Amino acid sequence: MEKRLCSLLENCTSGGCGAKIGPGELSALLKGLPAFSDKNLLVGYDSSDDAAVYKIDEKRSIVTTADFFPPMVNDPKTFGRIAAANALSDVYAMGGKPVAALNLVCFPQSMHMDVLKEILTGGAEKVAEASAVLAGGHSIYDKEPKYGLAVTGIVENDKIIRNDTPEITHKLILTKPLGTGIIMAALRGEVASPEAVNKAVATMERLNKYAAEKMRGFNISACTDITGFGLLAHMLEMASDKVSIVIEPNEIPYIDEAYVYAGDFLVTAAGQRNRNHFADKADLSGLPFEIQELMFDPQTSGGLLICVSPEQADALLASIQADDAAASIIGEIINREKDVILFNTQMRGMKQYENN
Amino acid sequence: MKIIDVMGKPCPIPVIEAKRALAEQGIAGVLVKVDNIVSVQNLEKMAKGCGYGFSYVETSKDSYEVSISGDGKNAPILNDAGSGAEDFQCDPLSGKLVVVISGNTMGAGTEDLGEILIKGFIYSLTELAVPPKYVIFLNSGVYLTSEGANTIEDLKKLEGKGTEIFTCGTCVNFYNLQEKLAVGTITDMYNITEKMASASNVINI
Repeated sequence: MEKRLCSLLENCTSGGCGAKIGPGELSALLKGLPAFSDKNLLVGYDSSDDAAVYKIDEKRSIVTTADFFPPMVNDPKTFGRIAAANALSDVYAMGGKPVAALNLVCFPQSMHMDVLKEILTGGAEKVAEASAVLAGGHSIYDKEPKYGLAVTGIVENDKIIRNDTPEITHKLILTKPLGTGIIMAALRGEVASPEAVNKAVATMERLNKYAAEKMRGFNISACTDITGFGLLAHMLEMASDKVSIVIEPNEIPYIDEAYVYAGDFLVTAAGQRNRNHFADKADLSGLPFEIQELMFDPQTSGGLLICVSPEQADALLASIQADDAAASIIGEIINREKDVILFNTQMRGMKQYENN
Repeated sequence: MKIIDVMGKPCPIPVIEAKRALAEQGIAGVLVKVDNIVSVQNLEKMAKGCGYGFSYVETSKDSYEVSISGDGKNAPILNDAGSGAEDFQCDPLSGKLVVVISGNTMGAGTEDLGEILIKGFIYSLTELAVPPKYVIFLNSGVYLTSEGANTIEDLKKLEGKGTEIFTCGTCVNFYNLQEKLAVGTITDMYNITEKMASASNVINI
């Protein structure tokens, strides 16, 4: 059994969302494609949102998304759960509710079919937890195993939450701790502690359903989920060219061991690619190296980044924390400054911010 | 120079292998072969963070040779401390910076400002590339290590970086803060004096 499970990771060169094609390469490529236009396509890939939204009538829209990746853990059922939680997340980030899912499977001929069965069982568990239905799928042979879901959700038209519409003064809540990419990298290098891996697995398996359900009834201006591009990229995307974001570095939740491993330089290639792509868009030089790395760390099945009105932020946070204890208010939306992302470090930042 | 071939191995394996090799007795430097520039960059962060010498060449497409020497320009340290294992930890503490904080505010002037400054100072200590070996709290400075202080989180972060935090026991008793210690350990004046005397650099606040 052990040997068989280990082969999951041994068969892959990079796992989880860290396997994503770099953001720079991707956006350049997408620009070359013909632009589609359909008045019912409310959110398409031109807006870099979490999922596509297509209006089906005056009341409702379909939220549609697909996600799959190679394993980042050895246990196939755990991998299945994580991949499914990750795929379902995009629907939650749009304010929607998943209704149906299709399995997406790539699997090596040389690997035992029992492993695939375990992966699919883990995935099905999460689809059930999401109260959605598993409706089919597609499977092919491939050198490296990969798994994920295509998910269809429903959202009421007036409840769609975009990722780039934050309102000034609104607070930002991050619902899961950062550091899963770093811990999984340490695991790959066989230097991660079992406790660290358990914490990372628990957060990756966690559905964003619970935090998303808490958002209902609150004044939410934007929401996204943290992916392989890392926290900083999603904040830049959220701010777009309209607002700036002040981040409280001390409030950023992370898995403790990830901070230590970052200090030991156990970081990922995807994290460095994120740094290469985004480093000139925010001045992180005032932050400890570890926090910088955590902000670039590729998250697999990362938390929601929710933008909520300031007077409701504490109430929403308390409600989310009841189920997702690591959730934290990590920043605030302000009028556009020269810098898109500012850091409220106690000395310089606080002054800078108060002057704004 | 030891050669480590990690072509085709994903991050952070090149970093782990390089650090492992540099930890071996008698290894002054390593030559790491990798197949992508991102691995080179991750090795560079490690080398620079540890104060090692670093250089690389692109030998052909998808082939890089990275040289890391343990005796780089800013070479740390601990070369006299004995075990290779300690060298390997990139432990930057041999500079033995000791910070002594003997008040709950910083500088002379308005108290409110002094409180803001001391919090900022302690936060900034966490940002130092080489954290202090010891931070010692005396007199009303002991409020900063006691429950409810807004400095606890940063001090814990410092601890996480290897800094030892000491609070003066006599002072804790004087201010009736027994049972309130929220970070670090209690110590006595003998130990405090010894730590200051052994420091290569003392900052007095």
